[in-house]
Amino acid sequence: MKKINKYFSIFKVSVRDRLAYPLELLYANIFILLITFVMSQIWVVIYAEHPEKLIAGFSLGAMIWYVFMTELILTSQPQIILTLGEEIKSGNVAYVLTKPYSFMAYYFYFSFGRTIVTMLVKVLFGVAILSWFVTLANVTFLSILATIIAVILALVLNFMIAGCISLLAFWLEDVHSMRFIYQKIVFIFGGLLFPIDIYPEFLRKIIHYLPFEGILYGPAKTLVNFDLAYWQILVAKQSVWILAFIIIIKIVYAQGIKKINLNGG
Amino acid sequence: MRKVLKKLISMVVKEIIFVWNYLQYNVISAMEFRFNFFSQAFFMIINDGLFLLIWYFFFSRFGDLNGFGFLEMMALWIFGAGGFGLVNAIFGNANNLGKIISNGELDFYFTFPKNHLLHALVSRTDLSAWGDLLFALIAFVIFFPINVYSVAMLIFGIVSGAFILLSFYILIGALSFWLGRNEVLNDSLFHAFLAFSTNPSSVFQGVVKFIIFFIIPAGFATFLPAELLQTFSLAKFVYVVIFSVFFFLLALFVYNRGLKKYSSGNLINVRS
Repeated sequence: MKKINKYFSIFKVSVRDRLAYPLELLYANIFILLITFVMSQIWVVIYAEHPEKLIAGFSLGAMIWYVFMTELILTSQPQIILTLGEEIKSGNVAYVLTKPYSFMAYYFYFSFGRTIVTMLVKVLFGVAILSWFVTLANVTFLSILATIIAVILALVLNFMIAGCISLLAFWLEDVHSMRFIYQKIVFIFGGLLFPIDIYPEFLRKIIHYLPFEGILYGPAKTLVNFDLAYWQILVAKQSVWILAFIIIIKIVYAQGIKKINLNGG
Repeated sequence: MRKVLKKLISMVVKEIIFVWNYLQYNVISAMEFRFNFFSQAFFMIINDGLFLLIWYFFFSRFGDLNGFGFLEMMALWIFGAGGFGLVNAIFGNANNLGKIISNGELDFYFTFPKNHLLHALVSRTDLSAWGDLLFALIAFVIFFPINVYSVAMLIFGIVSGAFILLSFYILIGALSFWLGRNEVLNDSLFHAFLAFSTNPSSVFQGVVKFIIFFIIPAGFATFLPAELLQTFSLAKFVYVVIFSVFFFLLALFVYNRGLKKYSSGNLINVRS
């Protein structure tokens, strides 16, 4: 119980920290609405040339909401690789060794607090504005609940993978470059701008064996085209990947922490 | 008149030499961490390439968008990545200008005899930006014919695009004089510039087109240079030149107006 209280306190501090600058939270909506608008312009042109008004099972409205959802998930999380990588590179991780909490757990709750606040503000403003222009059909209480669960698991999964990459800072001089690649892998394999259904067959097959579908495509598809059977598989996959990455983090962290040299002072 | 002109030219030459010297110093500093420098530049090339791969899948599936295909997208990215790379390689602090102002860190640059804004902008190089610049050159060599015209347009487009982006950085950075801490707004406006400059230009019409050209001027930075690379148009060429100069002067005007509102952060210190 004490353990839960400890990390819940970190979560609360993080939420309060994020709420300290309310204007920044509002500004954060600009980009997500703008990129949704840019992509919607592209899709309007494409759909105009498709008389069946359905591409890969997505209507125009669903496609626009899909982009909003993927951007919402991606842009609400802080820069995990940069933050953790910097803590390791600067040696600050050593100070945590003397404290009664886990380094990774601390950043997990801290990142989650910030993410939840940012995401809620974006949902409030973004959904209100986007709904004004584009109607999302077939939304039910069940599909929203399923989306919330899938989004939470997606955020956890993204943290675990990014956290795993940031631990490489124990061995590498810098993990900035890893961040670029990870971002782009999530963009492509996660289906950031376009649903993975439009990719070539061979690529879709590969994507199904990777965890990135569970970060963006899965939750976004759940909202716009809810399918209970797909959702069950998605949640199972997300959970398995999360467990796998927790184990990897534990192993890599245990190895990495041995690389720390303390010089006193 | 001749005296004034001579003085002006001598001043510009001096500033160019200053920027060149600083650039050399920044590169030598970056070379201290060779692996870091090369890996960031290398991975940025891969990063840009992967982004274009998504668009390759898109155009393969849907074909052209109002006459805008993968080659047009390549041209857009050459100027988007090239302009961004050039600015951030030389003026690596441009992206941090808002933060420097709101933290009162301009004080440090006031203590030097050089132009404080120029000094602040050049005092850092963004390692990954070199990768963007290199990506632009590689993409150009692979996808476009190399001749005097195309190389001239490449240089013209990258330099003018860099000039516009630098002016945009100064403008959004200067907002901090009035708004104080506004990193998120700064970041959002910058990403808006990036989003507009690297997405198919053919889908934007009406008011949006006006915004892309005159509010967040990605149109002048990438759309027109990309069109010029494929077909020459004197009118478009002149528009880009005039706009680049006008926008730069506007950015300096706004910055100088904002400077009057600057309050010191009491941060005068010596860099080691």
